[in-house]
Amino acid sequence: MTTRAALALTQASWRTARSYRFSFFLSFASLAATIIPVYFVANALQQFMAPVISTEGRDYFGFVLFGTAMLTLVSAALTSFASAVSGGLSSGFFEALMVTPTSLGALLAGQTGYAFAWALARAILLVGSGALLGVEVHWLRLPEGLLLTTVMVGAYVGIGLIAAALVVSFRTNAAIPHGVLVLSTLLGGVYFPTSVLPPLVAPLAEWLPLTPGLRALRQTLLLGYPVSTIADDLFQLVGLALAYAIVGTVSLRLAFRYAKKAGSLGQY
Amino acid sequence: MAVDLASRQLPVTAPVPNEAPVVRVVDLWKQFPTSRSLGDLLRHPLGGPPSPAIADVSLELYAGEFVGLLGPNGAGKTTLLKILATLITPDRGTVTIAGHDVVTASASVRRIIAPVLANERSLYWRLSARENLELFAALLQLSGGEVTARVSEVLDVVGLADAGSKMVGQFSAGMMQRLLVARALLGRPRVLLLDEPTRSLDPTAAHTFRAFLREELGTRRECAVLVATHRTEEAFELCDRVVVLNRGRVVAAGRASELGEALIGARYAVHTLEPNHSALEEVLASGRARRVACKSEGNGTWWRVELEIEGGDNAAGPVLAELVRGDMTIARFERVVSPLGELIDRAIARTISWQ
Repeated sequence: MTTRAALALTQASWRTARSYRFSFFLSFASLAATIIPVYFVANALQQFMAPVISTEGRDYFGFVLFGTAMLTLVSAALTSFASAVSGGLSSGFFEALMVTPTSLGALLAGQTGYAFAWALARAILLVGSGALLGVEVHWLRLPEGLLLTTVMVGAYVGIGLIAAALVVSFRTNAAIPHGVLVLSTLLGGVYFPTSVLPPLVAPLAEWLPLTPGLRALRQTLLLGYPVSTIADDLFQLVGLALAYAIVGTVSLRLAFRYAKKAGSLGQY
Repeated sequence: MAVDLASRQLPVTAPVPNEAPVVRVVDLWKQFPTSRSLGDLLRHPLGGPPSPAIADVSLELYAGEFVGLLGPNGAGKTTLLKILATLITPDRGTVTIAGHDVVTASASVRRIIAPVLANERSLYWRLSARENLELFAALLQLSGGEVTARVSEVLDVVGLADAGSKMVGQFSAGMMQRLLVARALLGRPRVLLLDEPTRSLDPTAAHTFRAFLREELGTRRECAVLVATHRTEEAFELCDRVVVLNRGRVVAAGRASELGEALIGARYAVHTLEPNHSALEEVLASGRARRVACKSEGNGTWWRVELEIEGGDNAAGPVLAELVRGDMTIARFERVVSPLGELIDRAIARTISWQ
């Protein structure tokens, strides 16, 4: 029943997005516009970047493509909860949802399901296009890759839940999603490996789930390394995911309890 | 100090005493935390006296009964509805719905109640009415097999069967209001909570809508319905009883017509050529009636004089007889529905005068 409710909400968002046909078409078109320049720029930089990225891949285009694909998913995980909650609170839609017997978890999953599905579709299209353009992917390592992606996204979901809890309690996400996204883009190894970071910020990068996640993912799918080789990064990622998920879940529960006490569930 | 108006002979009707109430509210209290500026905190560190949103409210609702919640803005009507809907946690007191506590068994309560508190923005405007209802059928956990039939049924009930495939964004305000009610009916609720259900409807549509609510919810489905309203017609046409709230407290409760009579008296309009006729002046001087309003009917010849008659409807006949005996020209003598705002004002004023 919970899954059905979440899927019904996701389907409603999909139908709404699909009804804006031109905007829907533009989203796909922009994806193609992203890949092509990246392909040429990455090829131009290949000979300079090859030695720098050697521990995570051989081809710089593939390196950047995986970073961009994961960033798409991370962005959805960070922003979708807070925006779903703030939109729902201001329109009164969240109040209408909260009086149904469906659990809060299922409601949030359903409200953000479309954002995740869309981000996943973009990530798959990016990686698929990369494969067509010559990126060598070790498809046999796909199960490990999927596991790493799931844990990495799960860690960012925890941070996204903290931002949503702030919206429920204080009507602001304190720029957490945007701040973490910027830090992850700059320090998480999206466009260059974290090994080139200055020693002052390198420790900070290790608190970002993207850092060990992306490193392990590239080693698995671009270099074909087995799980035993990436075990350290995997453990670090699981630790971060657990910590953020626990803090996020507890914060959100407390925030909703506070909102029910303060009577602010239906106001913005 | 709370004043029990029931003990002061105001009518309080218990409509179905043999049945257990579906909704039972006992000594409910809710006070919201107030945010204070730093300057205010420094000036008054202990703060002012607490101002509760709901204070010691008790009420019961029976199956098939419509109860109106009246009161000025900020009286606590919406807060009370939201507590019943499990959206606000009370500070103390108990609220049970069909035996389930709204705090400790909120999930069970949400299977029984259906609030229509949210506005039309709580619908997906880019989806059809049917798609909106199918979504909520899933959220209300109706079984997959019954969704299509149930959605058709409720669309039919609210008169939107032909508009099921139309995009909600193209609906009129009245159609959206009906769709919100259809959405509430999906889960076959035993208790319906309505917050100003006809606020966006024109008078004709509002009247039709109230007739539909009364017939469909009260008579056919035996729902207990709590309606927060500012509209006189709603309280008088729709509700079996009304509860007047002010500053979170119940200041009066009873049948709307009886309450109006007790607080305002029986009000009649006399349509006459002579608004200052001696017979009328005599009645006024004797204290058996009070002139509330007097205005020209528009052509400058006929006048409409509104009288509040002491002694209720039973005293209206003798007053009319006396006016006729005194040769006063009367074209029409009719009962007037007391304005809701005045009824509320009187209830509040009466409470204050007893405090």
